[in-house]
This record gives sequence, C-alpha cells and structure tokens, in this order.
Amino acid sequence: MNARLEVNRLNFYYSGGGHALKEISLAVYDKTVTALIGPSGCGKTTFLRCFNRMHDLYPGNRYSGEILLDGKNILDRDMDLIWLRSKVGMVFQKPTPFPMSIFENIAFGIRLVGIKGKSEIAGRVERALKGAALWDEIGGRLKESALSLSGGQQQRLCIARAIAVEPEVILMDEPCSALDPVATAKIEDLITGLKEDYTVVMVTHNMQQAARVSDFTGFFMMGELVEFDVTRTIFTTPSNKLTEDYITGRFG
Amino acid sequence: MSNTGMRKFKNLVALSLSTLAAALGLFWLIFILGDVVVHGIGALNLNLFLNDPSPPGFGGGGLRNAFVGHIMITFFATLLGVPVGLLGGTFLAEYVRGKRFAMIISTLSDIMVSTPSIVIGTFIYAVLVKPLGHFSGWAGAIALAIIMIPVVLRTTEDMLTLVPWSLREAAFALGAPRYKVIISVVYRGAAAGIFTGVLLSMARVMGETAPLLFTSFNNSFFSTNMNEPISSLTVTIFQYAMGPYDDWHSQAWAASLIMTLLILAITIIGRLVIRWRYPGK
Repeated sequence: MNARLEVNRLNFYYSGGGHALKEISLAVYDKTVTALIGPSGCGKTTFLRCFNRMHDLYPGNRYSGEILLDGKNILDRDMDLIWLRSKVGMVFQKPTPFPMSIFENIAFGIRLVGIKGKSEIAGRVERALKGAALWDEIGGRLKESALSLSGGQQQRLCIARAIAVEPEVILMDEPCSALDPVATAKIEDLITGLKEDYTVVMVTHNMQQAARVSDFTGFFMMGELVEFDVTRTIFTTPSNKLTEDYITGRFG
Repeated sequence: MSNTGMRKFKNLVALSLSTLAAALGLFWLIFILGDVVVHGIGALNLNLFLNDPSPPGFGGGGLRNAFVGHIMITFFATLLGVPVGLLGGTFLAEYVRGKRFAMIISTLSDIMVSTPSIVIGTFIYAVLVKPLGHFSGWAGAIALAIIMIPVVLRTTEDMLTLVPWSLREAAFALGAPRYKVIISVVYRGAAAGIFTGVLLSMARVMGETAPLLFTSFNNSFFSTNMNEPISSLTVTIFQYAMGPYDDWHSQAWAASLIMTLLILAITIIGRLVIRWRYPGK
C-alpha cells in the first residue's frame, strides 16, 4: 500500500511553550480512513491540524520533524500554505457554512483554485453535492441560504465544499459530535464512500465510530502516539496495555 | 414585617421608581417631538424645497440651499469617513486583534466617540479654515467625517469580532488567502451590522450643528461649491430660530421637523436591515 502522508518524528509546541506532540511517526495510507482516538487533551486534534498547517494562523506555534505529502515536507518554511490547503481539505467539529447561498458556499472553494467558467463551476458544484449525498435533498434549493439547512445537512455541505476543491486528503475533526444519530449514520456512510477517491484522517471520540469506519487507528495519550495499527488489531488484540484499557473503557 | 412582605415592598419601590423614571424620560421626548410636529407641520409647503431664502418680510422663500448643502456635506462626510472607519476597524479586528496596539486604538476611538463635536469643529477651524482664510463645505464635510470615523471604526471592529473564529478557519482551510477570507466570508457575516453602524453614524452627524458653525458656516444663496461656505439645515435652524422674524421661526420649525423625520427614517432603515438579516433576534 502507498503511503499518502508520512510523519517522521513530529514534535509540536504551542506558543505558550506546551509540548503538545512528542516524536510522532506514522504513515497514512492512500485511499484509506485513518482514525485518531484518545482521551481529551491527548493531542489528536493538534496532530490533525498539523496536516494543513492550521496552527500557522496563530503566532508562536512551532513544529519540528517532517510530514511528507507525496515526498514533499509540508512543514518546510517556504511551503505554500494556500497550495497545501487545496490538497489537504478539512471538515470541522461544528458545521461551518458560510453566510451565503448553498451554491456560493461550494463555488467559493472552486473559484479559489482558479476555475472561472460558469458552467464548469455549476458542474463541479453538482458533482460535489452528489459526492456528499446531498444533491437529492437540496439540489433544487441551491439559491437558499446555507444557514437554512439542518445541522446534518450543513455538515454534509461542508464535506461537499471540501471535496469540490478535489484535494488528496480530507481531515475531519470529530465531524459527527454535534449531530444526532441519524445524521451521524449518514456521515459515516459518506466517509466510507469517500475513501474510493480520497484519503481520510479523522479524529473521533466515539470508539464504535472508529471501529465502524476506519481502516487504521492511532491511539494518542498525553501527546504521544501509544499505538498505531490496523483498526481490527487495535480493537481486538492491542499490543499495548494502555490501548486495551482505553478501548475497553477502563479510563478516558 | 415578614420576609415576604419586605420583599414585596422593595419590589414595589423599585417598580415605582423605574416607572417614574421611564415616564419622565418619555414625557420630555413626547413634549419635544410633539412641539416639533405641531409647529413644523403648519410651516411645511412645497416652496420650502423649491425656493431659496427671500429677504425677510417678503414671504415665499424656502430652504432649498440648506437642503442641498446639507445633503452634500453629509454625502462627502460619508464618502470620506466610512472607508477610513471600515478599513481601520478591519485592521483592528483582523490583523492586530488582541495586541496592545489594537486595544489602545480602540480605547482612543471610544474617547473620540464621546468627544464634544464642537471640539472637532474648532479643531478643523484651526487647521483648515484659518490657514485657508475662509469657511468651506469641505471643511464641514471633513469635520463630520472625523466624527463618523470612530463610530464606524468601533462598530466595524465589534461586528467583525462577533463573526465566529471557526468561520475564518473554515475559509482558510479551503486555501483562501487572508484578504479573500476577510472580503468574501467575514464581511458577509458582519455586513448587516456594519451597514447599520454606517447608517447610525450618518444619523448622528446629520444632526450636528456646532462643528458646521466653525467650518462650512452658512450661505444665504444657493451654492454647490464645496470650496465656499455652504448652507446646512442645522446651522440654518440655529440662525433662523435666533433671528427676529416670524417667517424665520416657522421655517426653522419646518426644517426641524424634516431633520427629525430624516433621522427617524435612517434609524428605521437600520432596524429593518437588522431584522431582515437576523430574524427572531
């Protein structure tokens, strides 16, 4: 299997000096779903946000080590963050629709990558909405405000917005934690389908969810990667005692 | 007295006092507005808008010069003041948020919002009118623009700060450069609030008299030349109300009524915009 992202001895320090990630090394394989689990404050979200350099929005944060995307170290100082973020998309914990129409929400990202033709944008919007299993529900309401959608639809709109840019990797930060079980099930189905075209890395607090949708799972604790393996192995025969305690619910 | 009785008594006292205060405030408000309407409505006629002032005692004169002058001064003040306030507020909220520098500018703006407008009038008199040797419409527009800037700046900053940070992150995560994030996403989220701030700042400067007395002064003739003294409604009201002629008095009333209605209209538009963009709030 091809590694899409390779993390080598990654360390991350927040501006306050907190050493949030310690010597993380792992590989994210192409067209798979990788789940990151662990107790609150263990660094899994911090880790996820390294992949699109979200931490650079706030001054004083510092990385060391390397993350290779197609052989290029994305932590390089002269990395073009705009290019990187068009290759590595992100879906957040709470739905973040922009205050504009459904169509414009998706077209925003498409225009950013330099596509100008009206019909091409419209075609891409439609494809993205189909890809996020939203077309049948809201294909006729593209001019309405995105804020009029339900929470689950908003989150799928955010997924559509991310895939419209056609990235290689999609990051998801607890994408279902603000949703009800029905909407959660839809998003999980969607994630399973997404891996035909994309590589997905997701943070989740829900271990059943990690077991259901992911191929690989990494267990984080206190800024360290305790164990990383095929999901089935992590959930049936983990090699580390801490992992076993966590997934059986003895702590965390 | 029992505990409950005491509590009910305190409640009664607080209720009576606050009702009394509200009634007192309302009384003067209705008194003033009623007076303006009663005196103003009788003096309203079409000539007021179509004619320039005629010599006292001749009758039939109007305030066309003052209406046009007032609109011109307000228009140019908005043109000068709003962009500065908008960009300044954007700078504070988007580029230097949380830094000491930003807090100092915010605090200074707050002080400037409550600076008496006559101070700004005399300031412009000293730096513009005196050196140039004459009053001018531009001086008036600049004085009003200076009054608008801090209002627009603070509203813009507050409204931009209210836009959730997660929205910016989402836009950045799509690969948007900073200016795109601000223009396409953040401004849209804050548009109604900023627009309302602009309208309110316009309503505020439309009623200013003191700064105009020192800057654009007055002109009895019709003029659209911003390099010369230009008439305005507020200064005209001041002059006519102080003057000895009955004609002047009734025209001052009419102008006051129109001024009030104009400001009321702007405020209502502002409210409608808020209600339209944020239904249910």
